[in-house]
Amino acid sequence: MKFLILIILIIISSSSIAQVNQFGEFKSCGEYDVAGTFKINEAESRIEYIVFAGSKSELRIKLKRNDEAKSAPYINTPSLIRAIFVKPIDKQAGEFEIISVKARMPNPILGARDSGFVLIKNKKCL
Amino acid sequence: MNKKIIVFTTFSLLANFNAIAANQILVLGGGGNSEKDVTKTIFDESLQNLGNYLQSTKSWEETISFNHGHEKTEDILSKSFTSPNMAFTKKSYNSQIDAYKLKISNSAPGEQFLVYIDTHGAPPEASDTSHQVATNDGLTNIDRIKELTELAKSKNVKLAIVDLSCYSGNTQKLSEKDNSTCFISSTSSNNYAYADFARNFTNNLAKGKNLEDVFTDAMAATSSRGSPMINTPAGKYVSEKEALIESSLLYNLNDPISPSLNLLTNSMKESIKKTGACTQFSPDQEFLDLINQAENMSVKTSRFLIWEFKSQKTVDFSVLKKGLSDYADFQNDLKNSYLELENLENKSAKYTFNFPDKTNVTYTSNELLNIDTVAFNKIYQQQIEDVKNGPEPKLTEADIKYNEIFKKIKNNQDKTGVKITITESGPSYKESTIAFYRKFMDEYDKIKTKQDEISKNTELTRILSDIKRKSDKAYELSGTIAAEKSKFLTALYKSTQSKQEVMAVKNPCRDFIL
Repeated sequence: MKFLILIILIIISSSSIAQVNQFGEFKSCGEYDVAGTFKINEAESRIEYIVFAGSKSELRIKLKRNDEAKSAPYINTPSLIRAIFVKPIDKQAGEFEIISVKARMPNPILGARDSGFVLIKNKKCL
Repeated sequence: MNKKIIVFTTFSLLANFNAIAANQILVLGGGGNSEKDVTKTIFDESLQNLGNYLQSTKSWEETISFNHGHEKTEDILSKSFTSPNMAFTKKSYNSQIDAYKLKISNSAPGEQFLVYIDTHGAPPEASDTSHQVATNDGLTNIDRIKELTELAKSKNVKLAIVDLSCYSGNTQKLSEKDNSTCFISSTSSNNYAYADFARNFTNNLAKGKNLEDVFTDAMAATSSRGSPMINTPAGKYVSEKEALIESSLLYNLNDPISPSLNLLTNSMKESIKKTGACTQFSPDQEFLDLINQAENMSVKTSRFLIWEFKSQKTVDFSVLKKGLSDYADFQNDLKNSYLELENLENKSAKYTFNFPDKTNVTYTSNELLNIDTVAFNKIYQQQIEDVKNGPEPKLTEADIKYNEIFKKIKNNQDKTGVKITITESGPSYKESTIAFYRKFMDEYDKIKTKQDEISKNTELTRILSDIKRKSDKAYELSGTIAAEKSKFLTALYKSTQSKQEVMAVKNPCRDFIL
């Protein structure tokens, strides 16, 4: 019975079912908020931003050298970045310029859905 | 039409007019991975398992259109499959569906046809019935599977569609009302797929086993966050119930806490404000029944020991219950730690460092303490070694565009004053490239010095340590919950499956015998 009450409380505490899966997929070039995690690719000595980690949709986006310092405090911890994508994502890889990086509280029970894209502004692809 | 496709399709058609094996399998997928960056793909383990099964039974005629150019994947295809492979493209997908239709047309009642799709998947486009999957030359929907189901039904042959891609729950929409085709998906219509269900599914393929049992065995062994689906009566029941559990697992996403930490974007907050309380979900009788059912299942069966009857748990639901409860507690604690950190950060000093290319980056105390200077110095040291020992650096398009250091060369010097060596074949960028990386290392050394000063702030280090500990625990618990949820759903499936009214319903997955 205690568990039942817990579940009911959990559900009532949610704002609405309609808000689940707020993070979506990459659509086209533009400015995005992206939830993911920076990782060091030791084999290539580069930093990558991983979105949809562990799933079959996992994306690995390599950082430009001059963006690496922005990622430095957030390696292996969940983050939310504002970034401009100047090319479409192709074959699970992409290219972007990072505008800002912030901490993000993880909700790991969601798996890969604890990451994703929110389009802020459309932009023309280069 | 591409010459290769014509030859390949002709080969498939000719094979069709020879003796058709009792079992036919069409293997599609492996599309969408970058060819430049990886030699292997996420599909390799399940592909290897499938190859092992097909080799061991020797009762299947294979047709394969999979992958393109990944060394390890190609190796599995050449060693563990007997049929020639063709790269998976939009054209090859269509030509294989055409060839499979012809095979079904020429088949005898009772023969078995399996379509196995394992590739990157995407949500449906507006006009799709199923969803999009990745080929090597872009996305395509797989709605043409419907042509196979209609033909198979008219020819009275057995057909099974196994879609292991992300969003594969959408493929269930191609299922007919009378369920004459077996549909298995590795996840629901709005979720990602993970490699472990595909690995467990292919690992459980065995001669004489039916596809429903392969599915339930795979689901029981799966501990990722996917939501496997099957169009059996029990499968449909469990999917409905799982949606209720999912709604409880997803609640945290909507918690608009601590806006300044940007846990939610402005658009999300606006969306929450707009929809408000009027769309709140309230638990109905169906959900309450599920919880009661789960409680009863925990102590459902008894076993006879020599000296007594002993109650035996079919599935220990208490682990899932405790996991969910603990997870909620840890997430709330974690939220409080983030709020503490935020308060401290607002009072924190900021520190600016000058990286190459006029990139000035400002860090708060917390950000500074989180930097692993050893790891970053290792990256740049490795780059320096590579430049020293390697050929003249080839500048990438990005380097040329963004690293001005390589562009403004005057008087044999780059803009930082580092000498550019002019060789017979032109300027050498080795020295300036090394200087570029050295500058990064210098900045990380300065960061290290600053870190040593800040780390005396015990309050900050305590909060950071708390966040790390609670995050680690939440990740660990989320794994336990996912595994226990799979066990629970499998138990729910089996208890539904054994009901008489369910046994009486037509079940194409139970009837598909390997």
